[in-house]
Amino acid sequence: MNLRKIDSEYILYTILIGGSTFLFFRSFSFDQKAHFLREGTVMPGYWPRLILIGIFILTMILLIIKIDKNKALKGETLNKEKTLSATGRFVSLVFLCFLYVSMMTYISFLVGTVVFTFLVLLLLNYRKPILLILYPLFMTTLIFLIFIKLLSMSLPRGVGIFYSFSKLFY
Amino acid sequence: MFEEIIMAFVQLFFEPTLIFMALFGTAVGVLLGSIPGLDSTVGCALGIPLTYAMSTNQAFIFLATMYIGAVYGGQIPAILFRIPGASEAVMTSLDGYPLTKKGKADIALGTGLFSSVIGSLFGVIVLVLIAIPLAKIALEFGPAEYFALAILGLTAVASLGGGSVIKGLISGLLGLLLATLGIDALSGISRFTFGSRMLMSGISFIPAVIGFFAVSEVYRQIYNNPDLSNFRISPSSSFHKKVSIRLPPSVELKRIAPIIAVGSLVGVCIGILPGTGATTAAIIGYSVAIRMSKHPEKFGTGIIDGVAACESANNAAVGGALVPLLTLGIPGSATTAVMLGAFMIHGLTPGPLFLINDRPLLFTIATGMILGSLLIIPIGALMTKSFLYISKASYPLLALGILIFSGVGARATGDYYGMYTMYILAVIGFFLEIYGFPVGPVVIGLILGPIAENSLRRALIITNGNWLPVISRPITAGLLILSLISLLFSIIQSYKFYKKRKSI
Repeated sequence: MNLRKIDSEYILYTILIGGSTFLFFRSFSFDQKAHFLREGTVMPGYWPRLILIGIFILTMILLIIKIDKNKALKGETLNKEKTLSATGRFVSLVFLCFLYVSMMTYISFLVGTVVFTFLVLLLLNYRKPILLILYPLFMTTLIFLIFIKLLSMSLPRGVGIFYSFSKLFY
Repeated sequence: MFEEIIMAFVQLFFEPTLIFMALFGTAVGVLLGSIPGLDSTVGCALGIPLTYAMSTNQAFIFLATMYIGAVYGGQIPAILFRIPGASEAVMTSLDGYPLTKKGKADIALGTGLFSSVIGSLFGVIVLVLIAIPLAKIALEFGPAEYFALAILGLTAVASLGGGSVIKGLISGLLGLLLATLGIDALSGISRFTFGSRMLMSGISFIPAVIGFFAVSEVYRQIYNNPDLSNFRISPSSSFHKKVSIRLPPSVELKRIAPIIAVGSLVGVCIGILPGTGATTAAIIGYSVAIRMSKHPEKFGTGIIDGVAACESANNAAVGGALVPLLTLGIPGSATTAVMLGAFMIHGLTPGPLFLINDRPLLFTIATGMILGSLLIIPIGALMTKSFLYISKASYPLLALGILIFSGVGARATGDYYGMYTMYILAVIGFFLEIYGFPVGPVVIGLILGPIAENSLRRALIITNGNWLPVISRPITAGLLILSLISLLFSIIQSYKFYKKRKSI
């Protein structure tokens, strides 16, 4: 039995139409704030409104084309099914990336990068033990040498014990 | 003039330190250009303190060749990994990376190198021969012309990759919208920040480019490929090739020769306009190539024409950007703005008197740039070999390298929220491409958005809000009409294709 699902493209178009409408009305507040500009000056909300009108109109056209196409396909299931594991892997990777950026400030760039690299390798089903240990160290060392030593870039040192550890290196 | 050029060449070849500076500058430039987050502007900023210890000739040869090397270097990771090493290589990745996926990375890199050398040499020749009259033409460009130029660049890329024109236009508009985030340059009002400190400074360009192109590509590969351990970017058949760079066949070279010629010309013309630079030159060069092509729908799918157009334009813009700097004292790009510092260190004043008081330096810089343009051949080949070796790695390792390098590169721009911006935009880019919205136009909108908006508003301030005097200026009208024609043409082609598919 084919289950009828809401085509996720409709959700995207709804977001675009709703978002552009919301931002369009929001843009008038910029003009109010810029009341000090002299008469005849183009207000800060002018250009965003032009863009948002364009997005709105074009998305409506896409929506009409989509509805037209769906009628032609006579209600067949339109979604391409992706396995749960692929979606789970993607979501996990995105989550790990944000966690890496957030935690770097506390646990330092050096420790954060080693841990992040290790976890992502595990997530991608990479199981070679030597590489699981060596690659994170290699990647962190490479970044350290190029960006910190060569280019004198400042990367987070972390707090507490992580700060003390980072100070050993830079 | 020819005696001066010959004297400059003689001086270059009989003074080994100048040759060394050209080699050093080019090598450093290529290396910097190939690392995401670093580019010619950063290179010049880092290099200027080094020039204290150099003579005037050494200093400017070093900086100019570093500029050339960095503009070239960005194409290597752009073609191989879809990570533009420098902003100038954003457009190169649109066709370069699909070529790599087809197993033609060597041809893409060879085309890019060849086009870069030709474009760079052309830019230098123009700098030497017609700097002054070109600078006068540049002064004719006002805000209205800049606005029209930005629209020209935006409209051409709407149909990139053979996809839906409407989706391409929406992507471009999204890029323009993203460019409005933050503090408005003309009024100081914050727009669409919703009280967020992160959005207050707007969307930084480098994190956006890396996020949309490189990181979202990693997300996509991981999402689409269940077995990653055996996955490679290029087909495995390409691994047996021993060469890292290969020129296209002579038939293909002849075919793309006009594209390279026009790209170089466009690059110089855009480069001489103050405030534009090699990135804008690459966009406009690409858009002109699309218009020239008999098969514009193939751009973005992996053709050497796209690579040739961008690389000839962005490298020619280097010579072009030096024209207003040397003749008028006005920087033609961000990098030349930094180079102004070097002039001050060495007690020189670029401008109208420069060609009278310090004329020999112009020819010394030019000969150094010619040498630098030729040196990118061996240096580029060496650098490419290293990168190609990396591209053969197992994908999980490569993906991690991309994620980390991209993140640190985003941080290297000095934007504290750069990494957050990058990862957020990567997720947005991922979903956009899933639904058939190309990310190329988003990035182009982000680049050209500030130029388009600020120019339009300045033009409308001058005319008291009246559009007619703005769009009726000759150059502006010509550029806008060209944009409209190409857009209508794309839409009509797209509509015909839609009707044909519907009738089947």
